[in-house]
Amino acid sequence: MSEGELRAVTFRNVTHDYDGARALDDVSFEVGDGEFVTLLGPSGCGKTTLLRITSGFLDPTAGDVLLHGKSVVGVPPFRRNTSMVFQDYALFPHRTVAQNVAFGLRMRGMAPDEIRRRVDRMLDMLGLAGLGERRIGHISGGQAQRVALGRSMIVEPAVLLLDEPLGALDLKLRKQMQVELKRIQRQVGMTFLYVTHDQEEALAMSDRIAVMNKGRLMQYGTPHEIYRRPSSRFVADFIGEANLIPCRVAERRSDALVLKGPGASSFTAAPSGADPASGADAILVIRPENLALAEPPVPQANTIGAVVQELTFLGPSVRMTALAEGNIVLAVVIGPGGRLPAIGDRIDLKWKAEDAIVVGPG
Amino acid sequence: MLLRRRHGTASRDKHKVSPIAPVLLFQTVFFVAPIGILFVYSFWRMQDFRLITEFSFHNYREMANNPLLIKAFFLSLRVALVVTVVCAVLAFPIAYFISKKAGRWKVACLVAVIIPFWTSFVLRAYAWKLLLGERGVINTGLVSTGIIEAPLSYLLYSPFATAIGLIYGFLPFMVMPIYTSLEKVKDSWIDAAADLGASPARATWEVTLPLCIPGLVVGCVFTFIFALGEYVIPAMLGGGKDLLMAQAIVLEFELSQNWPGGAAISVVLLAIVFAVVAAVLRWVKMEEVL
Amino acid sequence: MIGAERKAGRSGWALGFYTALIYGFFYLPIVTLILFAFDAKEVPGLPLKDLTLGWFAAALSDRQLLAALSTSVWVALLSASLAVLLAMPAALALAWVRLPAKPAILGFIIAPMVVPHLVLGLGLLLLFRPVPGILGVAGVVIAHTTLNLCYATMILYSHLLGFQRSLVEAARDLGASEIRMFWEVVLPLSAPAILAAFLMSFTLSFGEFVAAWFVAGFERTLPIEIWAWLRHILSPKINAIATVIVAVSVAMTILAQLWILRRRNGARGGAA
Ligand SMILES: Nc1ncnc2c1ncn2[C@@H]1O[C@H](COP(=O)(O)OP(=O)(O)OP(=O)(O)O)[C@@H](O)[C@H]1O
Ligand SMILES: [Mg+2]
Repeated sequence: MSEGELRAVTFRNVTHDYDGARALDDVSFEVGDGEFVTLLGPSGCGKTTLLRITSGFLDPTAGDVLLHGKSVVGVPPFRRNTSMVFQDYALFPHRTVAQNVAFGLRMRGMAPDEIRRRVDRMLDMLGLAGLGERRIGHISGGQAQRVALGRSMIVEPAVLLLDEPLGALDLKLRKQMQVELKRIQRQVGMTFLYVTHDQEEALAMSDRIAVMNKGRLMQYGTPHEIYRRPSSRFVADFIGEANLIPCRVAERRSDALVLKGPGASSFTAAPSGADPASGADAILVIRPENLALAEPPVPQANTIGAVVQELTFLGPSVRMTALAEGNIVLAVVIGPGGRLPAIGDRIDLKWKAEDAIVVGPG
Repeated sequence: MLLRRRHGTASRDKHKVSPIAPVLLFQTVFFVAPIGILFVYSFWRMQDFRLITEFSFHNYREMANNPLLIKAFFLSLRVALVVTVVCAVLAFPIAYFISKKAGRWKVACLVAVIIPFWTSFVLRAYAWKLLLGERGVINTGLVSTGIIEAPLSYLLYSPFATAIGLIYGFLPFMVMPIYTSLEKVKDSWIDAAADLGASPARATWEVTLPLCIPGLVVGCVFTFIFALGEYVIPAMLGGGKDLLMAQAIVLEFELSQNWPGGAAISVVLLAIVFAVVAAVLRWVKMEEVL
Repeated sequence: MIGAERKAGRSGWALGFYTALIYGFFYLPIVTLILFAFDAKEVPGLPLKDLTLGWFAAALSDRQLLAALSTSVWVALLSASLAVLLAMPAALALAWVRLPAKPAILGFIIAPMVVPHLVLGLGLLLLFRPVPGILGVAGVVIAHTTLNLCYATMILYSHLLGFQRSLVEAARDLGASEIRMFWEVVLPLSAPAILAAFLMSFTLSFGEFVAAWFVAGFERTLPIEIWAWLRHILSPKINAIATVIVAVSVAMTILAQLWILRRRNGARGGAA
């Protein structure tokens, strides 16, 4: 990561306004060569805008975009070494599958023989052998998706941009293509910048995830980091399920953070280095799978009393919702074999200090 | 009347046809019959101002032996062809602009194209007379600004003037179908072409243009056949020297009172029109573009 | 969705400039026509002298012009009404009922579109020879109805193709008879399309010259009257009356087109 050459894409303070409406606000991060990076965020957070800035359809209002260390702002799309897989695939309807895949090579003036060879190889790799002469209207959604992928990959771009490429597929095909896409990406070692608003998809496929909200980059890190160490309430809430307990920071010790919760409860959490100041409001984040029933004798620290409200069976495990002091709804996943309380029972829930995450209240 | 389902199937079939019967009847009497009569007339002939109702190819033979008519025939084809090509070349960028670049002004731009088209041809021809005449706006303008010394006399009453008038007259008819085709060309196709390395010109050539061929063809066909049969514009702007087919037909009818002769030229004109339409209908489905 | 927002670039400006030029070409003649209606000179031409409304007064008190104007209005009203009346049931049947040979019928109805008006006018003239009484307003109305029919049918047909059939079915379901259904559901919802078809027909008929010329007999529609004037003299009176016509046509075109285009841009259903 240290050398500029190794970074396929660098975003430096990228900002974009549409007629005065801010779509991207000071976004900076880097995509390493060969990495699978996902842009994740709710609808309208600026994912497509960032992709279009990378591919050259839009210029940023401010900031810089570098491909392999060179600024590309102002370079038109057809002179950029990026390639985009469109959400609707944008396959040319007047061309066959093979002609679609060959398009980029033809634009680069490659010899017809060489084009044919590469197209055949690409179709083979994508499991499309034999479909080359088909018209675009005569292939299935999954096949169209792969044609779009092949058409973009064949030009060997510095970065492949994918805008919700699986959005149009049904759930089953979607899961299948997730695996497939990841396999292809590993196999060819190409840099992927991938857009989705499906957090499961992002967690499953990415090397790193850029979580965005309202045009801002909220957090950038590996799926593990994003899930285990969300840096904000938004990220904690958006990625996976999270229980949010409003607290106040009582004391910042070198080995732990002491928090006052609802009522008289008091919690400790591992310090993260970016914790709120003493006396500030904070949110304690605990994943449902990290909450457990506390058997008597109930420990003093890191427990909270609650009343069981609902039990839902999810096959082997059970999902419980309970109402804690201060009207906080908590979700708990009880693994197979765990003791099951009854609805209306008063229970105590506990968690390990290292599983608790403290984020700011914003 | 319509969609009546109460009766049995037999009477239902009858009811299904009845709503279109008035149109079909009207068209048969006032469209098919007149053309049929023209056709019949074209095989009769005039002698001493009397109509001889005997079948003969007299008029067609006369036509083939009349150098003036032959000239009018080829000049008409040439003018119509030039007008069509010029209109197509002029119209594509405008249609492209309206469809892809006009943004929220799209509807306004379209209506602005259509408005001149719905203004009477007589008035539009008159307007060009005012512009192109020897003391017209263009000549006066050019002379007073010193670009030319004497008025250009060939601006009006020439095939050039006719062509200008026809281009002006039919350009909207070319823009509309191309625009309709372009509306079906998704922006993401054009983006994808650019993304894969096609310069704007190349993307237009490889993607946009091939996908608007249906619209182009329909526009060209309409422009060609309209230009071929147009009378007002050549009559007002073309002058008396180089006649077009429509003028020749009117001359035969009005001046020579030779109705069968005029009918024969009309039949030839119609034959070309229908041949062009039939040829094109084999390639493009009308409904795709209209 | 984002496609519209694209970098303009140099080629974008060139395209915009070109389009502006062509719009100039479209409107230069019309503006010239209107300009000379306000110029005091006897013969229209540059340079402009004094501005006056005199030509409008002159044109609007000219008996012959007024008579022609009224003939044209009548012809246009009658032929447009007739065209819509004939086209509406045909369009309903074509759009909603399974007809054998539908493409052939459609083709037959559109055919007059491609026939030169001149040829149609001549054919009608020959057809009416045995009944010369028809020549005149009746003849012109017939000629124009023939020309209008194809446009009116296409507009209504495309509207009805995109019509939400479930509305009709709902009305039937609620017990409406066929006639009631037509009056209460189909007609109100088709009103804009019918208006568009009517306005388009009206405008077309109002400006049509050649076909009318042959079958008008001793009557004169406005285009025929203007044509006759232009043979002899160029007079700003013509510009004045032209200005009035252009103003009316523009208003009607905008009304009709706004509806058609809104539909075409909105629903992808029909082919207009
Ligand atoms: N062409 C445009 N003109 C004006 N505003 C736009 C335009 N395109 C997008 N926006 C706005 O910019 C913001 C970001 O849009 P963008 O399409 O990048 O979001 P996104 O994250 O891709 O959303 P989605 O998940 O729905 O695709 C949105 O608020 C959107 O309304
Ligand atoms: Mg998007």
